[in-house]
Amino acid sequence: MKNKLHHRFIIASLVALVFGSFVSCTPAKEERISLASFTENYVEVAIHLKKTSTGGHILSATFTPPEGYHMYSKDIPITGTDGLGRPTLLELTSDSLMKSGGTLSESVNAEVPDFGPEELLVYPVGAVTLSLPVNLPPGNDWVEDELSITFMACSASLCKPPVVGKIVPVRVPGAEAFAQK
Amino acid sequence: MNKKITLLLIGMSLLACNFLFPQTQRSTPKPSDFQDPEPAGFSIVRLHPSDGELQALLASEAQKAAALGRLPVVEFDATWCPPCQAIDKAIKAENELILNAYAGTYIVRLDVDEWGWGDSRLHDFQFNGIPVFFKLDAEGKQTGEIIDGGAWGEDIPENIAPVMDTFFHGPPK
Repeated sequence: MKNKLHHRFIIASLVALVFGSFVSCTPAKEERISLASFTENYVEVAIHLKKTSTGGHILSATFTPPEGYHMYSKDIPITGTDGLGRPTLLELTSDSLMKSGGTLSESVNAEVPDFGPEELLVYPVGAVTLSLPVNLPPGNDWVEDELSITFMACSASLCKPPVVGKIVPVRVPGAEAFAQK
Repeated sequence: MNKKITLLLIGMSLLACNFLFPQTQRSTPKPSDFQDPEPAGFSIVRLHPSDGELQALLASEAQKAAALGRLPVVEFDATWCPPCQAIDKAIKAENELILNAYAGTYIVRLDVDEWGWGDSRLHDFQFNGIPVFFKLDAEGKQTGEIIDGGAWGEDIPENIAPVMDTFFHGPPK
């Protein structure tokens, strides 16, 4: 009887240990709200705002080109490399109420293209997400705001037209409003 | 009598002068940029919206192509389009493969930044990506034969030339 109880205790402890490990290893949940999404010139763009586990805010845009197409690096000039290509950009405008809190980062590293100018860096075929730390406008209310988007998609031998400096209107929560969410 | 001889001499001098020193031909200004890399090879013309209505321009260019015995083809391109510029670069570098593939053609280039993309000015020229080529008939209308960059993969002359050669001239015999 005592052995049986002891056996059950060990099993229960193991289950608790496994469950506890699973819960503690799961990253803290990030709150994310969708700000805008649209398709233009064959590229799907989804813009989100998320609160990180450390309390900061990240503005992100995911660019999904058609199958077999790629986007260009955020670091090529706005007018392209020797006029070729256009960068992928997520920017705040001078009228934006959100303020930049860091530098723009990319979900995948850009690569030197197989053909064409070496400086014309491209992302691997498929979607790329750009993220920008931001400081939300103060207050408890949601406010009208705007941001700017630039992109262009090409395959190895075919291009879609670029979108440069498209102003996207968004509605964002004030810092206190998002903190209470 | 002397007067007649003098007049005859003046007339003959004028004829000789015109024959020996022909006046430079003053054609009407071309409405487009014209590039003929090799007289026996092919022609490249660029049309701008300011030149006039597209269909009328294409009819005119098709006539010029016919006069040269060349195949009229419309190409949509743009300065920001790497594959389009790769073709142009190969032509300017006189890449033999490309020159051979383009032989006998009359390319009418339209920049999508000028003409739009799906714009009403383009009539029934519909496409999803550039570069794209449309064969024209003798009246400057589409024949229905179209090809775009998707047909050749990486944009290097070794890939582009055989595909374009087949498009322009039919399969190799």
